[in-house]
Amino acid sequence: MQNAIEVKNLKVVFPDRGRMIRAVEGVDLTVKKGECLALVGESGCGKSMTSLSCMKLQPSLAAVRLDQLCICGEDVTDYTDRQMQALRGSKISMIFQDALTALNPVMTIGKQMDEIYRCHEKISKKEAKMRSIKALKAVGIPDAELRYHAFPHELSGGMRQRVLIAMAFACEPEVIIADEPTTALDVTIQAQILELLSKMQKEKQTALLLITHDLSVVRSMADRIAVMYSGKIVEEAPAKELLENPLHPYTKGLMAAVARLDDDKKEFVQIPGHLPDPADKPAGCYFHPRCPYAATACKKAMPLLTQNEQGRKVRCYEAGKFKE
Amino acid sequence: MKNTYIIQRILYTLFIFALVVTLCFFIPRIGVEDPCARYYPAQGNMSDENYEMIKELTRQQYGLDGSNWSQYVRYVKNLLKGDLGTSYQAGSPKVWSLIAQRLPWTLVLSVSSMLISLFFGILIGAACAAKRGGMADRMLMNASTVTTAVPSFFIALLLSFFLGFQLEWLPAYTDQNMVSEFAWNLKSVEMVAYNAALPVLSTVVGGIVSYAQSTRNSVIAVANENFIVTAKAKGVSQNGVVYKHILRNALLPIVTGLGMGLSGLIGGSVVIEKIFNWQGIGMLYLEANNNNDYPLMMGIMIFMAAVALLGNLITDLCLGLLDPRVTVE
Repeated sequence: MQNAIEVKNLKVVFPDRGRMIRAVEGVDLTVKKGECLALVGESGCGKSMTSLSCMKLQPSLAAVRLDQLCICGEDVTDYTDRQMQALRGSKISMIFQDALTALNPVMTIGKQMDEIYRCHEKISKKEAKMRSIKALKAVGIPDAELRYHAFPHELSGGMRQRVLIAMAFACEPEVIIADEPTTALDVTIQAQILELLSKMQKEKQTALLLITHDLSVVRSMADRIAVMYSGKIVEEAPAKELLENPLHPYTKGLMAAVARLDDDKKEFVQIPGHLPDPADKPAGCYFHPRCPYAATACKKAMPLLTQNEQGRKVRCYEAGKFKE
Repeated sequence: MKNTYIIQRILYTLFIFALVVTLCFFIPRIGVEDPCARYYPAQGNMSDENYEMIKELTRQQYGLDGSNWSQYVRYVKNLLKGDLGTSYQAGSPKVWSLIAQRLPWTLVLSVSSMLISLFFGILIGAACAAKRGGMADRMLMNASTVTTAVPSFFIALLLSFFLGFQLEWLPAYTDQNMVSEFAWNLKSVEMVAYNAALPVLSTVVGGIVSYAQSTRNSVIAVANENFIVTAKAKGVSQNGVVYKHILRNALLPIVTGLGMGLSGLIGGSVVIEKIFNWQGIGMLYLEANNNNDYPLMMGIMIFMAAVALLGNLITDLCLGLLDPRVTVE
């Protein structure tokens, strides 16, 4: 199966108050066609920077190095911003977290939708309008003809998120990056939006890179999961296997911290400590200061992301050795 | 933009205007026992009775008879008819005609200063925003500290001293022939420009810096907004992002600044006019003030207030056009 997006050895650094922040340190990601890969991690672990870099939309201060970036089989590693423009929106698109700030406040929803079609296809204004309204209807916006003329502030949060989804799917891209698409929403709306996203993805056979810190979101949508910690992928596996049998202590900790209806845990187990300062990361495995299973080796050198006998990728010396 | 918003803004403006008229009427009368006192003729050997009659006649002549309240009612009635009354100056000229005479000269200064500030301010501000943290940007930051701290009349004094008196490059004092001999020909226009150079320069410095500063800040703020990333993620070109998304949003605070500038068009340069002896509305007001010329004082104040309010109203309406989020609360 062809890969929709392939990132090799992505590194992002940026300066912050005179210090160098190593936000992403050598991340490899591959999303196959029609697949949903969830990138999971705490806030500040480099998820968003990874997703922006995939579209070459990182902030101007950030420096990005990567060995290879392929979008739909096209090697775009050395593409300029102008070359990327043609791909953005048509081959690869993005759904942002906060739909209120992600939409231009002084432009109607309709105009912002039309813009995508007008950028990528040579069509008339009238045609663009028709397609926009159709796209708005497809994401379940009632009275799409009316909403077409509405401004972002006149819609509810859920509606705005639907608009963003409609925009992302507008030109039927091969791959969509959804950066925390439900974080800013109420829980009831979250479920609706996820359902919509999942339905659209299945329908159009779009590859989805889902960035989130919410494991319950992951559970319902992801085919594969990559767990990120402090700029590095620490574990990657098919969703079911990873959720049933986490190999990395960090993944285990994440799972233990999630509330589920169907389990009988008496209390949550919190991972002690917090994410290391990105400008001053510990020696050895970045997770060792918080890890209950840390051995001497962990303090000396960063373990590699290795594949075990079952084909699971994990970055830990002690992987699988510990039991509950 | 909703009609209710427009109507609400207009009603609000009218309310403030009524308030201003009232204040303009009563404030000059505070602490003045008899505003007409300086216009009474000497009593001489007149009997007190006769003298009281003369005084009353004088008061009537100057429109200062009756209680303050009845004077106020009379004044408002005339104002509604568009009559600002007559000045106490020799020949009793109409207040309107005095204002109309001086207005163009003030506008020459303020409008040219405003246009120059706006043009260079936006240009410099946008350039600084593009190269944020660069040399020009840092210079702008420092300049804004200086121009906020140093009032324009101080700059005017410095300019008039160095460029006017020391170097004698530009006239430190307005040539009064400029007004009396004015005709619509190149020579006259050149003369006006020559005389206006220093006053305009002294107000333009602060103006440019403040417009540049607000342009820079709003462009940077908008460029960092999430919706700019969204626009780029849609595949919108660099120019499309700048013109369709950044500029319109960045324009909002600049329009507000412009509106505040509009309100200072007439009344903003009293001191500058005095320094350069520029025969504008500001000078007219100072004369009126020195002569206790109530109708003229009130007329000018009310006119200034009306222009300021109109400026604000236009700004509000423009903002309503530019920003759909602006509505009545």
